[in-house]
Amino acid sequence: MIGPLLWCLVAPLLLAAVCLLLRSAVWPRWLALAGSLLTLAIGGYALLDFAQHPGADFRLQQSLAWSPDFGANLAVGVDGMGAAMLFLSGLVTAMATIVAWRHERSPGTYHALVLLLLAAMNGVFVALDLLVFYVSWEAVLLPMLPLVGVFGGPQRRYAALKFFAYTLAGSVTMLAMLLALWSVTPAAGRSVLVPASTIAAYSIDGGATLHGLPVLRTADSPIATVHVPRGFDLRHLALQANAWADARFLGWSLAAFGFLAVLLACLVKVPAVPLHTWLPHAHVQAPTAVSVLLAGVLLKLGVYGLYRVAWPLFPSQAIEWAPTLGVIALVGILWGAYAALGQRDLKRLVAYSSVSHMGFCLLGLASMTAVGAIGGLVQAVTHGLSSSLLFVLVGVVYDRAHHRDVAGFGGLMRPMPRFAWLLLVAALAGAGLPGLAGFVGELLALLGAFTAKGSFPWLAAIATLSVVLSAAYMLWTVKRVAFGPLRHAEHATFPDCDRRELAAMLPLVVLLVVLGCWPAPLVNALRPACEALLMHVQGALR
Amino acid sequence: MSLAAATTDFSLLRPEAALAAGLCAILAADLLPGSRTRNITPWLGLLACALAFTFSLAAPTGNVGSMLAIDGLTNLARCLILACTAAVLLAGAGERRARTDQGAWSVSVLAIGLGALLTAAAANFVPLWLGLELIGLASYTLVAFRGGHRLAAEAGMKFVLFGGAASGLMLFGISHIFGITGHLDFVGIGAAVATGMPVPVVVALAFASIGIAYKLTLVPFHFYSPDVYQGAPALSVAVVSTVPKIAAVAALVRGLQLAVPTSFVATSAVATALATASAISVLTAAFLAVAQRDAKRILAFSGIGHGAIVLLAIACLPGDDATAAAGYYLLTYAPANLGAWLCLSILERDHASCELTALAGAGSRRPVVTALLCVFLFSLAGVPPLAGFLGKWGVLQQAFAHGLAADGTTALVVAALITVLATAVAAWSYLLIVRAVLLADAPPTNGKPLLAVARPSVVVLAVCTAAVLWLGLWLAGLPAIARAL
Repeated sequence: MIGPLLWCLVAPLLLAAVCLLLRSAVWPRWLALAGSLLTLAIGGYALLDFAQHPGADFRLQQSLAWSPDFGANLAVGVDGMGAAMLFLSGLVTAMATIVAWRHERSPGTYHALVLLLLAAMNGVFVALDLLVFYVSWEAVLLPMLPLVGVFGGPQRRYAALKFFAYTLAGSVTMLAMLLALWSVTPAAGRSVLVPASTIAAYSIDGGATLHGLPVLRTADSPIATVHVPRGFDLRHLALQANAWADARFLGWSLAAFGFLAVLLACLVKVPAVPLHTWLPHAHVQAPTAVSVLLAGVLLKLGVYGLYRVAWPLFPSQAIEWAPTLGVIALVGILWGAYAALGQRDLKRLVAYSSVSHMGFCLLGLASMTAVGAIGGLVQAVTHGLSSSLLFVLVGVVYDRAHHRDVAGFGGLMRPMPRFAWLLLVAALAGAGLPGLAGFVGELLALLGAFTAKGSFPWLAAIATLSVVLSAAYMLWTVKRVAFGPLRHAEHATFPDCDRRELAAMLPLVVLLVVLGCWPAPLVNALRPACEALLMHVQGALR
Repeated sequence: MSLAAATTDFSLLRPEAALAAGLCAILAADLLPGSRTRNITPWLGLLACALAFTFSLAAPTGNVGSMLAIDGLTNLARCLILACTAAVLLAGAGERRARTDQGAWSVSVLAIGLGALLTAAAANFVPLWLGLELIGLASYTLVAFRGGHRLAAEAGMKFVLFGGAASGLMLFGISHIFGITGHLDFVGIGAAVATGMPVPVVVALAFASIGIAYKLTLVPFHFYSPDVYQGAPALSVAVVSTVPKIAAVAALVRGLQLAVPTSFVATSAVATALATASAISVLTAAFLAVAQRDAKRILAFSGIGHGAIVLLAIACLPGDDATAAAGYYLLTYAPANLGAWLCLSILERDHASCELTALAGAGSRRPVVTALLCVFLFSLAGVPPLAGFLGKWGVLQQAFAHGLAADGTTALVVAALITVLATAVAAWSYLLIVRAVLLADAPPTNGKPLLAVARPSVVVLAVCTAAVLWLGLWLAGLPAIARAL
């Protein structure tokens, strides 16, 4: 009755309830690990399926009627990107759970909140219904507020409220967009013209149906008709892209309003400069494991929202805004890297490097080329791995030294060789060294931008500078922390990473190396969906 | 429905009769000596509510003379009113156990319920007026229930003065309506103005609506609520801020259905006027709420904002869908609001104040109550997947549907957008409470042991929590309510 993807939503919720009721210090962490490993397994299975049998269709689909009157369904399904994100969500949550294995303060509540967060994140990644997407998107905030605000550092209140206020304010207009889309659709639905190429890309039964709707098509005609019912199915909403562009909303085009609403919500989450100021605070104040979740998964929600909602539903606006978004991405890339150079706090440094690296996701998507889009999405996955690793490493050294000041370290290679080597790998992955995963996404995103029209080659050329900057701040940090003479005698007694810490890091390292040397499975899984999306977007021009 | 066809079937009034009997029983029990009889008074009220609730479920419809109309709307309002009254009585049975004034308190709460039932069923300005006055008189005593407390006395005084003024203005309007049309019953008024709405009638109806606007705490009739809520015991506010709103909405909808021609309600001018009033209220409430430093005052401004959002649904009349949206909104608002005030009443007892600075450390002293308070506040803020989200969803959907239709009223769309933005501002005010109770550092305790939360309160909180979680995902509820109307 409940398929695998719905289990990714239901199981964490049930496990969270058990965590709250158990009043045990030991069981909650095992339950959190179980919930995240379940997500990891299902996401991994779907990702491998897409790697072996590439396709732009949605798999593991399931739809339960929610409210027929609204045309809302509990519809889930993943394409290549959804599967990759689900995999990432499970993996990073599992690593974060291992990091917080010995969490002492109210472990039941803490792990229950992590499980609630997992359920909400999974909801975003598997949703095929805009209402499910929106509910999950907002539900992410509820567990994050106490995770940062109660379990965080000295300035946790300010950080948690700022995070909550920024993201909520960014996304409330999405609600207006949802209702406006529904209101301008006739109750009986509308018939739309669909090019045969779209049917070829998405249909799973040779063109008889598209996204569950019967296709009316005279033989050999390049255009077919599909009758779309009123509702919130994301795929159906995407088919009506032209209708949104024609509909009026307070004198605007509805598509223009809707695109800006989604864009604002996503740019806050990415985060794009100048909407990024909540990120350094949230990262610095959050406990290590929550920082890992924030950087590893939550930032990706913004990219995913653009890919899943903004581009498909409002393609002509996406093209119109692409040059502006390219500039926003470039500013983020350079400003993040420049600001990272000047940070003394290790967590702030990693936070600003995230701003810089997430800019490549935006640049790739904005380039409106398939290569660029694949690059942007690959970057989202690999940045999830490398930034998680960096935050775990910062947590390791903070556990021992109880501070994160770069200047307060030096020569940690001698007492902690494993830590130092892992830090070097993570830094090089972040800096985009070929052979490590960070290189793939940045290269493809830049390639896409170089081949794109208009000002994008120039943007790409300037963005390349950030590779130098990121190498500079990453390697300089490694040098100051790990190499040179031991600066503080008491650091000589620091124990090296223990088995639990290694367990939280090695899977990330392995994936960074594997995907760096052999990115084909990930790229293959993402390519058909990206190509179909770009075809859909370019089709809006005609 | 015409006057001639109206029957006088008193069996339709079984819920009201049950509540009135309960009132008499409590008054009698309160006269008996001994504290035990006083302690059973809330339970007597609860019994009356349960009985009335059973009568209201699938109750027959019809008219009681030209005075009351028992229809789907009435029965929905009855169920909600009785559930809320019962919840407050149950909470009071535990929280106020062994108080000497327990009997008087129970009578007041039950009287508010009875007045609300009368108001919700009124099809004539006389029972409407009587119902609102019964609610008002019982509320005045209820808010001043902290004997010797300066703020409570001020609250009661302010409530009486403002309430009296609002009643006076309402009577003024009713007298003009009677003078112009010769009728007090809604159907008669509707028939008299069926050919057209003269300006004096519109003005008189606007005056007559002031009593309802007062209960809905719409700007500019909201002035009393922050001061009154701040001074009153939190448990009293739980009932005063919820039950009269439900009754007022039912009365307003019925008045617009019967006393005003549908063609007039459907005009863009009426929709624009109501939407403008709603937008002004919701903005005022949101921006004033963030400036408050007392949790009770923040919740008072939240009540003003929520009343305004219901008004936006009413601006989309005529149509059962709009009524259903208003009804569903109240259905989602009631458990969240009741729960929040009950939590505050527990915290108020611990901290002797609901000022934000005084509430610091509540999270570590009472983690469960604080967590539930946060859940209720997030629901009031409209964060999905909690109940308040779907309530807002229904209202905004109506506003968009009516505003974006081919001949729709643009003001509805503008008001809906303003509501969405005000929601974000108001969310900040709820966060101020969350920060105070959950995130602030705990001050050193004064060593006094905490009183356990009474078992009846645990039941009420559990029911409210379940409702807030369930109603947030019950998307089928809106059309179900529309069909029940």
